[in-house]
Amino acid sequence: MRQISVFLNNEKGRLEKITGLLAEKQIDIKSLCIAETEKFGILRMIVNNVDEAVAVLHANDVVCDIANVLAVEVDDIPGGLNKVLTVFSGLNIEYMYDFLERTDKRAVMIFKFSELDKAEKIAEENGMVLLSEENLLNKV
Amino acid sequence: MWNEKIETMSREEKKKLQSERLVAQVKKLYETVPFYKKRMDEKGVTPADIQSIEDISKLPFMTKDDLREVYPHGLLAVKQEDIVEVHMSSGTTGKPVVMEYTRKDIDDWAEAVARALAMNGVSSSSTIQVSYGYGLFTGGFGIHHGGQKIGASVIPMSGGNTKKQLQVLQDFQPEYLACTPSYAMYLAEAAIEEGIVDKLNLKYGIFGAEPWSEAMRKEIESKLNIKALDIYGLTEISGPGVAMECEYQDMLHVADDLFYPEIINPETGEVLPFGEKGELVFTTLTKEGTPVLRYRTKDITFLSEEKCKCGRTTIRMHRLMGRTDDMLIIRGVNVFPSQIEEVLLKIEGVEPHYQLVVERKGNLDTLEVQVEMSDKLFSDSVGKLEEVAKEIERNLYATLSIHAKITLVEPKSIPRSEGKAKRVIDKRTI
Repeated sequence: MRQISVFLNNEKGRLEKITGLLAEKQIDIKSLCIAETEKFGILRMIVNNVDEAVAVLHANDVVCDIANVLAVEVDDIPGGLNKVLTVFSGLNIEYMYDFLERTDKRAVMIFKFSELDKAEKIAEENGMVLLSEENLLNKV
Repeated sequence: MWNEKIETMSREEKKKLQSERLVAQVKKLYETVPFYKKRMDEKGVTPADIQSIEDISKLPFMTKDDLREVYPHGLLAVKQEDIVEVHMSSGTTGKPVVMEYTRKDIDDWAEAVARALAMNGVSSSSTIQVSYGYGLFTGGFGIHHGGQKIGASVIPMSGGNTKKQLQVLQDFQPEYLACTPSYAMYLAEAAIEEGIVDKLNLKYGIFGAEPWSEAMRKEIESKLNIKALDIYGLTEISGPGVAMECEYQDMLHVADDLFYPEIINPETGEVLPFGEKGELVFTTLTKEGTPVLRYRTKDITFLSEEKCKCGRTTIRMHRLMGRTDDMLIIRGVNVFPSQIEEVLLKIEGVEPHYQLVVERKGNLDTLEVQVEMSDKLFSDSVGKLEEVAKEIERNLYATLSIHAKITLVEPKSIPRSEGKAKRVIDKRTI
């Protein structure tokens, strides 16, 4: 799963500029989170058309990059997230956030691991459901 | 007065003295220093054209780059064995400007500083704490030589180590403190914090090596309960003591029998009359080791020949009013934006889009360097971006010895005028 990370000054109007550019191109933001510091922030988002989003951002002098993340299905019940984190307990999670839309008692969490390959392997070994870019976006 | 005869000499007599000294100096330089012969030949001037101080405008100007070009010994006008001390200009990229002093040069320099100090009451019973840096920089040694010439007790503290500075101020009870104004402010605040201002014996501050405002003067004076005085100097001419304020704090007295001042139009090089603002130019009149003709200081000010209330007849210069180049003086350190650029561009991924914001916070100068983010520099991790900022900060410190705050900003967020970025925002009010 590809995620777009965008560099933003931490000041008013910056986020709106990005959403405006994406809106113009009819790009759907499926999920986002922001990491902020005193002076700057990093906007991370999952969109329905990564390539077009990157193209329009670059064309407008926005610094952005693509990061590979893991989209993991999580039971939307008490202890559901804990179960997943227990499986990944040996790995460093750089950050995580949840996917906005959900169905049938299942939620989707986006994870950024320092060691993506290892995380993928562990997830598969433990029978977790990983969503690909395609099926996550089609599903909703 | 340290040297009443010279300091109160009539302008006519002074001109005669200056003329004699200039004529002899030019003749000697033309004969002994190939650099000066070449520069004079290029301008079609021979020593015979220089008959009095008025003829000085016929001589070529020297810039910092000219002096740098002849590093290390290209200005030397005496035998190496006659040199007793060497200093170099601070902070700039490439080669420094080297000044080499004979014993008489040190004595003349000490004479200028002695006059400056005595102007404000320093005597053999005084104690001076010198908190200017000692080293290639002329600040520390200049005050040191002058103080000793008077016979005062000189405490060579050099800069830094604020705790010890305060301890010595308390234990040795100096009446005089010599340092940069921003460091004086820093010491004042530290002294107030420790509640020891009442225990100090300070009466005067000899502050220079960076521009400062009247407001800052008032603040230092009220915080430390002293009289704060402005001293001017530069390595290329000798060091501190080229000019100094007397008790009336009404412009700085130039030691004009040793260092001849002119004000020129920086665009045309034309000499401007008294009272008109322009670029300050100095010629050394008695220097033996590395004399300098018509050195363009790039400092902006104006001169006055009116007699001062203190009785001195020297030419006076107004405190510095600006620069003709983009040099910044931050906490006494000379900083050129080009130096910062050089450091930035050595870091992989940094674009040449940056802006320097200089402010005075609590009377200490701060430098913020805004650097535009690029795809190459960017990372999805906050920690990694902060590490980029730290790396820039470390590299700047290694080169310039000043701490800068690094701010990463979006591309194109630094305003550009006519396609070129505006490099420096100086918010200090001098």
